[in-house]
Amino acid sequence: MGLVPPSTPPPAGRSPGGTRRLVLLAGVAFALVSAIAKDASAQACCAGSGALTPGRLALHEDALVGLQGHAATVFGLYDEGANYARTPHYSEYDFEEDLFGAVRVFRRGQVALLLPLVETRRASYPPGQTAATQVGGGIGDVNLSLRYDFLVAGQSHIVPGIAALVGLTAPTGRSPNEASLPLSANATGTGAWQGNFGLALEQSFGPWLLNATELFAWRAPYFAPARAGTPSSTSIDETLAPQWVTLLGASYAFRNEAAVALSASYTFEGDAIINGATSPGSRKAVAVVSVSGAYPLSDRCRLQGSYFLNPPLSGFGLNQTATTGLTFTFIWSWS
Amino acid sequence: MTRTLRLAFLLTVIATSIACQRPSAVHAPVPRLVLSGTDGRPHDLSDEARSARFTVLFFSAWGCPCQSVHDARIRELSARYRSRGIHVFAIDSELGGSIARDTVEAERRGYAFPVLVDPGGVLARALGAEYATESFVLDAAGAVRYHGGLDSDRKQLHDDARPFLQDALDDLLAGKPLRTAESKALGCALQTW
Repeated sequence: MGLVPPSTPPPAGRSPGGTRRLVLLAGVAFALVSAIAKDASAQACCAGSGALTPGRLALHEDALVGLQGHAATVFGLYDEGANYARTPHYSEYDFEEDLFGAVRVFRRGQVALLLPLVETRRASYPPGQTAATQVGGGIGDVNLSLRYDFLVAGQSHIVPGIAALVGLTAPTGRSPNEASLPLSANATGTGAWQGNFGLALEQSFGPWLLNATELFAWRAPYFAPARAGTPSSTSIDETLAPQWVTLLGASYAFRNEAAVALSASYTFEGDAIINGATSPGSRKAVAVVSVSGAYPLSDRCRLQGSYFLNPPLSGFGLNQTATTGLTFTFIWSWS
Repeated sequence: MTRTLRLAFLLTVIATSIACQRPSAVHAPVPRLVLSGTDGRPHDLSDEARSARFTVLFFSAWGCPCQSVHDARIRELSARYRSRGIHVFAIDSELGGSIARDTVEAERRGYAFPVLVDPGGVLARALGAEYATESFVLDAAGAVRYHGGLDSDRKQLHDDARPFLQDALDDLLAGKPLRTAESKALGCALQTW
């Protein structure tokens, strides 16, 4: 889940220099922790997967519920040509609280439900003009997903763990086209039904767990009525292009089942179709790198936190804002 | 299209549920296998079962933190029931299992019972063992009477923990129906191939 940026790309921002230092620090901490913990021996598939995907049931768990807080700020923008630029006259803060739960439905399967609540603050201060600040939010797009692990990481030293992922996202949020505020600060969803299909491969090497996931999202056409006060001809029929997400991650599990992880993802979608015609230059892409950690408070509850960043470099995004932020997750599980 | 998507989701759920259910291991016979033990002797599992009132097979993975947490519990259980005709064996079905490695581990963990090496995970596959600490209780005829974990807690034992394996042994020794014949093992996946 993530907030869809306003349809008119905003300019504005803050220096990414601080975020670069944070990433560097996180990387150094990750390397130090890995080097120091020579006798770590927790099996990676149990603890490591929790650091990479917090809402996922571990092998021994039957159910979990969790609450994830997410805070991000926009510091830049990738344009249509994938060029990165800072956004000195625009600022944006995104917050999201996700309530989620997962239950084991078969021996190796799990069904998860995610209910997001989204809030956004956007401010635009063009030089010589009056600044505009907007705050909006609401329920985001609800997601139901199924994961089935045909083979668990570590069962074979040759064949990696293989999991199939299927999901359905309902357009319970408000799409950017339906947002009433000019900066779309009250947009909370994509507006379209979305079907997700994916394949995840992961393998453990002692305390290390490597994960590669490919996801495909098909989005149904949707109709966005004209905004209040605008001609009815501004209503649109839109079909978002299929979206591909590639996720690579590595985690390291400690003896106490705490884990740290480093992951990167790249999301790409083609040009949208608006009112029956392809809208050239509307394709989107964005890369995200994140460092995360999970810590078990007890057998039944654990904390997970992460720092994420869209690299402030050209070529790492298309028609998207560049953001950085933190997530914090609390999970209670039953086994 | 949305209807098709919903239907595909539902069919996926049903298909995986049918295809992936695991048959119960209870009442399955232990295969005729002779495994080398860290006590320096070969162990024919059928003979071992016949020579005891009940036999506990405790699948082990030395790299699994749950295994370490369960060490004290299996040691205590073995000590408590040895005089009542119950034999305990740890089973190493993982790749790289060897008498040398398992002897070191058995000593380090204070196991007073032998570790049997299961090359290629033949025994694990025959019984359907997939996780560390997964345990099987065999009767004298070599049939599985209990299958599952030692207890209901993965790490520290809480006050409300259920001692599944101990309950099963008590029930079997008393000739009573088992309160729980199958439970979930809480350890890591065994790497058998």
